[in-house]
Amino acid sequence: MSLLLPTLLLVPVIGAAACLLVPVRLARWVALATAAVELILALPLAGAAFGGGVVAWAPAGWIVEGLNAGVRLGCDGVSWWLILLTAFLQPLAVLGSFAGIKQREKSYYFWLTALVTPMVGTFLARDGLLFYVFFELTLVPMFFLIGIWGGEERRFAARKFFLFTFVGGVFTLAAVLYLGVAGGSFAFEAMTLQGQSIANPTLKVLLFVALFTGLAVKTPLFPVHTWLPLAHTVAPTAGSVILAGVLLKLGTYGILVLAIPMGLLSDVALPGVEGDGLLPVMRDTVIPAVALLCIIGIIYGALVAWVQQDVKKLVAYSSVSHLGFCVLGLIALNTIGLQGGVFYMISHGISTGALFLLVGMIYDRYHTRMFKDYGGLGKVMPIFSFFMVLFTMSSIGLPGTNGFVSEFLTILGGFTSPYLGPWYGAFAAIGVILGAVYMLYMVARLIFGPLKLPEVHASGTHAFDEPSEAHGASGHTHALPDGLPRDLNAREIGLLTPLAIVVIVLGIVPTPLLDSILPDVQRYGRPIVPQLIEEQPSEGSSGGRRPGSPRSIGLQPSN
Amino acid sequence: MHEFFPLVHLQHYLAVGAIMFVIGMIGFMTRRNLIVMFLCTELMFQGVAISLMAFSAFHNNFAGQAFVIFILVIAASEATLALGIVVLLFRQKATVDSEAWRELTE
Amino acid sequence: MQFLVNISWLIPLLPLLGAAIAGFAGARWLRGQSHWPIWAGVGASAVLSLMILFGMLGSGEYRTIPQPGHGPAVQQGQEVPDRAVEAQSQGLVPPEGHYNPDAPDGKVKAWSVRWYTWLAAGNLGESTRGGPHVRPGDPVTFDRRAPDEMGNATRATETRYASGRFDAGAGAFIDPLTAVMLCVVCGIGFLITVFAAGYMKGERGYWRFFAYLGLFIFAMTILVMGDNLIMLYLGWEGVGLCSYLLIGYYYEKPAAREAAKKAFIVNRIGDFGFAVGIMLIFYCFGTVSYFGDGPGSAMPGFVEMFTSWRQYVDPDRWHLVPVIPFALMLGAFGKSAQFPLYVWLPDAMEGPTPVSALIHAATMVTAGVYMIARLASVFFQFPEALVTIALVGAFTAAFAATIALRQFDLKKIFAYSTVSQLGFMFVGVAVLAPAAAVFHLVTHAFFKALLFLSSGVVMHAMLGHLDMRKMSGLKHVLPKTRILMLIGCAALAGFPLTSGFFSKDEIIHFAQLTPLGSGLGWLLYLTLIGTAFLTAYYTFRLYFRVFEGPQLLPDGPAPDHHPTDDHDDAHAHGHASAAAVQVGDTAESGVDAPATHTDEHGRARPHDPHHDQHDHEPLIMILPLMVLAVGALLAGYLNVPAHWLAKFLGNSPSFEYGYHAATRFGGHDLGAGFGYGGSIAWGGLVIGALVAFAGIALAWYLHLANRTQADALAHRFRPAAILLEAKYYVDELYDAMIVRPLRGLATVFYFIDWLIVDGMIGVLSYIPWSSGLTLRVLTQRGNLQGYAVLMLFGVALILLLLFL
Repeated sequence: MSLLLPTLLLVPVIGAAACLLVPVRLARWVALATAAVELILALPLAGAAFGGGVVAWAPAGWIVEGLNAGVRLGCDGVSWWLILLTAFLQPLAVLGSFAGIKQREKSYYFWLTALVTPMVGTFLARDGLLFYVFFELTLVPMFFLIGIWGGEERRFAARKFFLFTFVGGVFTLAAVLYLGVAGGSFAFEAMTLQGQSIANPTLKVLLFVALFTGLAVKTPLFPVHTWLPLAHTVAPTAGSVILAGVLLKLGTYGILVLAIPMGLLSDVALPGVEGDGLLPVMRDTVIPAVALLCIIGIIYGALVAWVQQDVKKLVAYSSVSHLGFCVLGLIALNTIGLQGGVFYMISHGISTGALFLLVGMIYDRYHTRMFKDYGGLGKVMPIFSFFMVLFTMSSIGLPGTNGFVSEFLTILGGFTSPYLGPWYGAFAAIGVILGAVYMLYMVARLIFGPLKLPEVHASGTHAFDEPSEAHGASGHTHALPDGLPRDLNAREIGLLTPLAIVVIVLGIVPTPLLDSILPDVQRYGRPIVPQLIEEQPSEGSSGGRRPGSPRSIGLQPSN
Repeated sequence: MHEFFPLVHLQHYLAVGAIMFVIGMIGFMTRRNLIVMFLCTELMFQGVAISLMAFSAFHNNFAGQAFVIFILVIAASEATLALGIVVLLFRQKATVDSEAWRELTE
Repeated sequence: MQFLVNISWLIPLLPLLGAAIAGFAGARWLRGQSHWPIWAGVGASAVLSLMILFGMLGSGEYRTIPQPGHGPAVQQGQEVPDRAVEAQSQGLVPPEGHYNPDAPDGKVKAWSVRWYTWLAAGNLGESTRGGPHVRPGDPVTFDRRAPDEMGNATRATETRYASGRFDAGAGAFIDPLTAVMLCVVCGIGFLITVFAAGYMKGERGYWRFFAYLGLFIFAMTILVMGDNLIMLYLGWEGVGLCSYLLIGYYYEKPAAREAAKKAFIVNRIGDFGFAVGIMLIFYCFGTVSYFGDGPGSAMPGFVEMFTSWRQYVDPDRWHLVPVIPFALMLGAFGKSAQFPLYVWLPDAMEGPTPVSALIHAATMVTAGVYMIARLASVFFQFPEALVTIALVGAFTAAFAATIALRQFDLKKIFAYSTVSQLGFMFVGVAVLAPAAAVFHLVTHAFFKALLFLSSGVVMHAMLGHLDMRKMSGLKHVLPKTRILMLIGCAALAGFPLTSGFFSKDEIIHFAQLTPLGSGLGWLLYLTLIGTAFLTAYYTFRLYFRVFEGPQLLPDGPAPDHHPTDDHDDAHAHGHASAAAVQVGDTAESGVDAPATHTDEHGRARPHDPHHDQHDHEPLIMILPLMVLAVGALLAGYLNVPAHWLAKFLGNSPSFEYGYHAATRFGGHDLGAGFGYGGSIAWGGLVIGALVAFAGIALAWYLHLANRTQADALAHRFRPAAILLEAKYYVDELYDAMIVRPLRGLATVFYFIDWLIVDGMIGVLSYIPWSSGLTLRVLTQRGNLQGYAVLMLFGVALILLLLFL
C-alpha cells in the first residue's frame, strides 16, 4: 500500500515522457490514460482517509543524513481528498483541452501531465524541504502552460505568476530552513515540535509571517492576489482549471500543515500559553489580523468581480473571494472551521474548475470572453445553461450543493471561534449576498436576455452573418467553424456531468468527507502535546471512529 | 617525488604555477584576439593544475591529482566548444576580435 | 400514523423525482406530456399530506414531563423515562414540555424522524470560549434529562461552554403546523400544476416549467417538514432558487431577467440575516434543532430551551440572544416580502401566472410567517422584536394597499395585495396569535391562488394583456372566470361569510387586544381596519373595471406576449392574424387564420385564433379554479365557529412553547391566539363586514356606476396619484441609495486593485529591475577584458576580506 505513494509520483513523469515520444495525435490520449491511471491508483489510498491511519513511505536511504531531509511521504485524510481532487480534475482538464489546443500538442500534454507530480507531491510530502521543492516545482509546468498556450499578454502573465509565487515562496523557504536546521530534521513532526517550542513571541510571529507569506501568495489572499486574475484570464482552459482547482489549494493546504501547526501553535508547556496552544500575541493580534484580511478579500474580491468585463476574470476574482472564506475557516482554529476550510478546498476546486471549463467552452466556440459579446445563451445552448446555473448555484452556496456546506461551515467556524467571534462571521456572511450579486450578474448577462452571439472569425466559414439572423431557425443546426456544435457536445457533457454529480453528492452527503478529515484537522489545529494525551468522550459521530480520537502521527519507514 | 629531485621544492612548483597563471591572466586582459584569449585561459588552467599536482605530490594526498584530471577533461571539452564557437563567430564577421562582439551583452 | 411518519420522506421525494423525470426526459421525450410526472408526484404528496393531517386527528401523545423553570411539575411520574424509551424505540420522540390542560385534546401531536445525518462537523467537547479544550475526565455530561430535587432540569448546563459540534440531520418534524402547511403546499400546488398544464400548453419550455414546479414543491415541503433550521434554510434557499428560475422563465425578456435577479438578491439579503440568526442560535444554544436531535439523542432543541434561555446560555452571551429574533426576522421579511424587502415581489410577476399563484402568493411567500410560528418561543421572548414585527407588518399592509390603489396591471395589483395580506399575517404572529396568522395563511392561499389563476385566464384570453385600462366588461367573454374572480375578490375584500372575512377579522381582533400595549393595539387596529377598507376598495375596483361595465377588448397581442415565439417564422403569421382579429369576438376570429398554427414541435399555440375561437376557459383551467373557489368560500369554516383549526394547531409543540414564552406578557385571553379556548368576537365581525361593504360600495360608485368620477378624482389629487403609480419611487430610491453606490464602490475597488494593490507590487518589483539596469549600464558593456578585470577585483576583494 505504501508503495503507492511513490508510484503516484512516478506515473505522471512516465506519462509525460510518453507524451513526447508518441505521435502527435496520440499525445492527448496518452495524457488522458495517464490521468486515468493516476485516478485509479489514488483510489486504494481511501484507507488513509476512512481507515484512520497515515499511509507513509519514508525509506531511510532516501533521506540525506547530515541535513536530515529527504523523501518522506505520507498520506492522511486531508491529503487523500486533495490528491483525489487532483486526480479527478486532471482527466477533465485533459479532456477539456481537446478543442482548444491546436498547436504544439505534444509539449502541451507533456507539461500538463508533468504538472501532476509536483501537485500530488506537495500533498504527499511529510518533509519540509520536499514540500518546498514540490511546491515550487508546480510553477515550472504552469509557467510554460501559460506562457506558450495562453492568450494575449501570456508572457507577462506567466512571468508575473512565476515571480509572485516564487518570491513569496522564498519567505516560506526561509522559515522552513530555520525550523529544519534548528530542529535537526525536516520531518514535519520535528519541525512542528521545533516551531511549537519557540517561546519568544517576536520570533514566533516572524516565523508565522514568513511561513504564511508564501502560502498566502499562492492561495491568494487579499493584498497579494493580483497575479491570479491575470494568470487565469490568460491561461488555457485546462490551465485555469488546474490553477483554480488544485494549485490554489497548495497554498491553503500549506497553511493547514505548515503555517498553523508550526507557526501559529505553541507548546502548552511554555509560559503564557494556554491549553489551546496559542501565545497571547497570536490570539489577540495575528489571528484577527489574518481573519480581517480574509474578510476584506471576501468583500473586495466580490465587488471587484462584479464590475469585470471579462467572464473569466469574474470567475477569477470570485476565487479571491472564495479563498478568503477558506482561510477564514482555517484560521478560526476550531474544528468546525478547519473542517469547513478543508471542505472548501475540495468544493472550490470542483465548482470553480467547472466554471472555468464552462467559460472555456464558450471561448472555444466564439473566441471571446467579453460580457458585451454575449446574451441569451439559454436559447441556443440549453445544456450549457443548465450546467452554468448549477455550478453558479454551487458557487454562491445554495443549500443542497457542496458550496453551501463549505461556505456555511467556514463562516460558522469564524462565528464560533473563540478568537474571532460573531462579528467576523457576520461580516464574512455579507460575502454570501455579494456572491449572489456578481454570480447572478454573470448568469444574467450570459444566459438570460435577448440572444446575442459574437461573430465567429475563425477559418472563414460563416455559420451566420450577424446575431440578428441567428434569431431565425437557421441558428440551431449549423456547426461552428471549429467543428463544435452550437450547444455542448458529448465530450463536454461527459466532462461536466461528473463534476455536477460531485457538486450534488457533496451537498447532500458531506458527512463522510467531514468525518474522515476530522482527526487530521484536529491534529493540525492543536498543539502536539495535549493532542497526544487527549481522548475524549464524544457523541453524535456516525462512524466507528470517534471524532475526537487522535490518529497516530508516527512516520516510521514502513518497508 | 621529492626524494628524486631534492633540490626542487614545493615553492618552486608553486612559483611556476603562479607565473603561468599570471601570464595567462595578463594575456587575457590585454589581447583581443579570441583565440589568443582562449589560449591564455588554458594557460591559467594549467598554472592551477601544476600547483594542485605539486600539493598532491608533496602532501601525499591524491585529491589534488583527481582535481587535475577533472580540469584536464573540462579544459578539453571546453576547448572543443570554445574553438567551435570561435569558428562560428569568425564565419559571421570574418574577424576574431572580441570587441566585434560587444552586442552580445544584450 | 407512525407508518405515515416513516414514509414521510416520500412527500418531498416524489415531486423531486417528478422534476427529475420532467427535467431529463422532458426536452426530448415527454415534451407536451411533461406535466404527468409532476402531476403524479405532487398529487401523491398531496394525498400523503392529507393522510397525515387526518391521521394526526386521532393520534398524539400525552405529555407528562415537567417543563424546566416553570415551577413544580404538573404531573411527575416515574413512567417518564420508560415512555421516552418506548417512544424512542418506535422512532418517535415526544417533545417534552409543560403539560397544558388547555390544549384541545391534551395531546401533543408531534413526530420526528431523522432520515440521515446531513451536515455534522466539529467536536462536541471543544471549547468555543478559548482556553483549554475539554480533556478526559472533564465533566462533559450528556445526560441532561434528570431533574434536580426542585423539579428543575439541570440538563445542558454543562455543555453550554462546549458547543463545538454542529450537527444537523436531514429529518422531518411533523406536527399540526407542518401538516397544515403540507396540505396547503401540496394541495394547492397540485391544483396549480393542473391549471398550469392548460395555461402553459404549447410553450417552448413546457417541460422546463414543470421540472421547476416539481423542484419547487420539493423545496417547499422540505421547508415545512424540516426538523431543524438547516433544513428550513435548505428549503428556504431552494424555493428561492425555483422562484428565481421561474420568474426568469421567459429568460429572453430583459424585464424577467432583472426581476429574477432582483428576487434572488433581495432574498439573499434576508437570508443573510437568517444565516446569522442560525449561527447565533448555534453559538448560544449549541444546536439548531427545533425539538432535539431526533431519536436517540438527549439534546433538547433550542425552541424548548428558549422558554427559559437564561438557564442554558452562557452569561457572556446573554447580550446576543435578543439579537436572534431580529436576525431571523430579516430572513422572514425577505422571503415574505415585507417592508423594506418587499420590492422583489411585484417584479416577480414577470413569471408565468401559475408561478405567481403558487410561489408568489400561496406558498413560498408565507414561509416567513411559518418560520415565526414555528419559532414562536424565540420571538415571543422579546417584546421589542414583536413590536417591530407588528409595526413592520401593519405598515407594510397599509403601504402596499395604497400602492395597489393606483396600479393598472391585474397581477401587479394582486402582488401588492399579497404583500399587504402578508403584512396582516405578520401582525397576527406578532400580536401573539399565531393560530390566527396561520388561519389567514390558509384562507389567503386559497383565494389568492384563485385570484391569480383567474387573472391568468384573463391574460390567456386577452393575449397577454393585463392592463385594466384596456379591457372592460368581460363578463360575457369570460363568464365562468367572472364568477370565480368574484368569489376570490369577495374573499380578499372580506365580504361577510367568505373565508377572508373570518381570518382577517380574527387578526384584527387579536391586534386590538395585544398584550404588548393598548396604544400599540389601537394603532394596529386602526391601521388594519383602514387597510381592510382599502383592500375591499381596490379589489372591487379591479373587479368592476374588468368584468362589469361596457365591453372593451384590447387590440392584438401584448408586445411582450410569449416572447419565446420570435424564433419561429411560422409565428409571425400567427401574430399578424391574431392582431387582425378582435379577440373574443368569436364570430370573426379565425377567418384568416393560417394553417400553420402549430409550432415546430407540433403543439397548438395557446393564442392562435383557432384555439381562441373554441374556448377561452378550457376545463383543465377552470376545474382547479372551481376547487379553489370552494376553498375560498368555505375555508373560513375550518376555524369558525368551532376554532377547529386553531385548536388543531394548538397541539403543535411550537405553539405550546410559544404560549409559554408568551405567558410573561400576561393578558387575558392569551391562549386564544394559540388555539387554547377563546370565542368568536362577533362585534369585530360586524365591524369588519361594515368596512368591507363600505369599500365595495365606494368601488362600485367610482368604478362601475360613475367611472368618470374616478378619473376626475385622480386628476384632482394628481401628485398623490402619480406617487402611488410610481410605487412611492422606492425602486428608484433603492437604486440611487444602494445599487449605484455599491456599483460605484466596486468600480473604485476595481481601480484600486489595478492601480494601488497591483501598482504597489509593481513598484516593489521595480526596485530590483532598476538596480539591475543601473549595474548593467555601468558594468556590462560587452567587453570581455572588462569582465576579466572586474572579476580580478572581485577575487582580490574576497581574498582581502578572507585574510585580513
